[in-house]
Amino acid sequence: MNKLKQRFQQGKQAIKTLDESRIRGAGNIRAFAYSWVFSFLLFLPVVIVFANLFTLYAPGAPLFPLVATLAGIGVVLFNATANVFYVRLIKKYFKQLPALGSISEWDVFLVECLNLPVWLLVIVVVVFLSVSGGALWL
Amino acid sequence: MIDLIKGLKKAWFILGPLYVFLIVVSVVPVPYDITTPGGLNKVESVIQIEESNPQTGSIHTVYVYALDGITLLQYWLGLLDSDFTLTKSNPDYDLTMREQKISGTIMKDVSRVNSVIRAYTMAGKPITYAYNGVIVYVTYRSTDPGIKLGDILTHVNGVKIESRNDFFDKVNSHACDERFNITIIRDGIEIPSVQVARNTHEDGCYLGISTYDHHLILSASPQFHFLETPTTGPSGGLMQTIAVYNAITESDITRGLKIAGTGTIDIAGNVGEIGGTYQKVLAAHRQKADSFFYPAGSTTNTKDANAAYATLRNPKMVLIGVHTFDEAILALQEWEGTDE
Repeated sequence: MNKLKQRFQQGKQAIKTLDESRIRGAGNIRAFAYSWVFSFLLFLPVVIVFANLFTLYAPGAPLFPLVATLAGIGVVLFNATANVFYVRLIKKYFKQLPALGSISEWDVFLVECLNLPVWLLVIVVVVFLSVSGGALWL
Repeated sequence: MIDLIKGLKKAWFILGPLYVFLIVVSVVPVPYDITTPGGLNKVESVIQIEESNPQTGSIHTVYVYALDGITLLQYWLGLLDSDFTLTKSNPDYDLTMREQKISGTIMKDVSRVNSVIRAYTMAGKPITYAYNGVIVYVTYRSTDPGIKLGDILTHVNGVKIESRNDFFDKVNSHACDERFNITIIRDGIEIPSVQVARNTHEDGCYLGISTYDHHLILSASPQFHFLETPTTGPSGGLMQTIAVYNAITESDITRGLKIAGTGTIDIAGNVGEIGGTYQKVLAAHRQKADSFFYPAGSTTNTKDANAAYATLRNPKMVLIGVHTFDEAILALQEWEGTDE
């Protein structure tokens, strides 16, 4: 537990370091775009599987909350993975910034997996669709 | 991007097969259709009656989700989940998504007209209507090319069609592959002479169409309005008729109940067979309906309704099989509910 806490703190520090490095310009945009596109391609099978599942377990179905929760976890992992790829590319594109070298990708992954605003968004969407039943999906 | 791919070199060997497997099972289609439970729709969202009498309860149609040409993954899930029903796709059925929507809308429109005619007639309210002919609500691969989805067939060899049975008598009086004339109203325009035939196929000779009797309401009092809804299909017929009847008569047969059900209706008040009865019973129970009406004249529907009902835990909902609209009204008038 202590080790996890330590890594979480390191991750937060890593994100702070990223912010303070004031990375700007075409390299940053390229890293951002590539990391999201690559993450999407990596998660493509998961996206298609959930598209299949949601056609069977629409809002109102007893298993919908479970499927929606799993999809929510998928969204969080997708976001965290995209951030890891972003860090990896940033390190490569901005070698002149030595501070970036100390950033651990797995620490960033951990922090992003526990990203509270993303979780809140997921919970609100799952609860709203579960409670509203099939009314939105006629 | 290349850097990212290279960075995951080892992972590709492990994830690669899984990646391909998931995409294949989620994309490859299988020749099966699947039906899954849906929910309830209030009839007043489909048909509105002006100056309708107040009601204490509510009357609902029940919808299900029906998917054609499902994927391998959906097929496997269909085998695992007892709430779902898998059926082999009809190889002769080849309507596109857009045509399926048109087909479902024709079914819904016919059912709404039939509901209004039956309910007003039963309630003794003024209504006038005319018989148009038969409307084509499904075409198949085998359909004679002279006939299109949505066509209203009015005459055979210049002789007016009096009913759906009359139409098939007239058609069946011709030999296989013998050409004869039909008059069609297509997109509001009359085409007086279209040559068609009962074409020969492996399993017999036929025109290859599914049809309904098509009526046009000329006047009615009180006035009514058909509202636009995303749902399609004919299964709301019985419940629509009950709701319209209740809205235009003095006594309130709903008496605070949540009434749901399924079944087609014709203008004589006969309740006809429908698909997805198993899933509709589950959906009505989940939405806490007090009663569920189903077409008792159909062995399949009766079997499915009872099979679904047997799976429910502590059901408060009462299952009521009816052959006609009159039987449904009688059942509601004599309603005593369940012992709690």
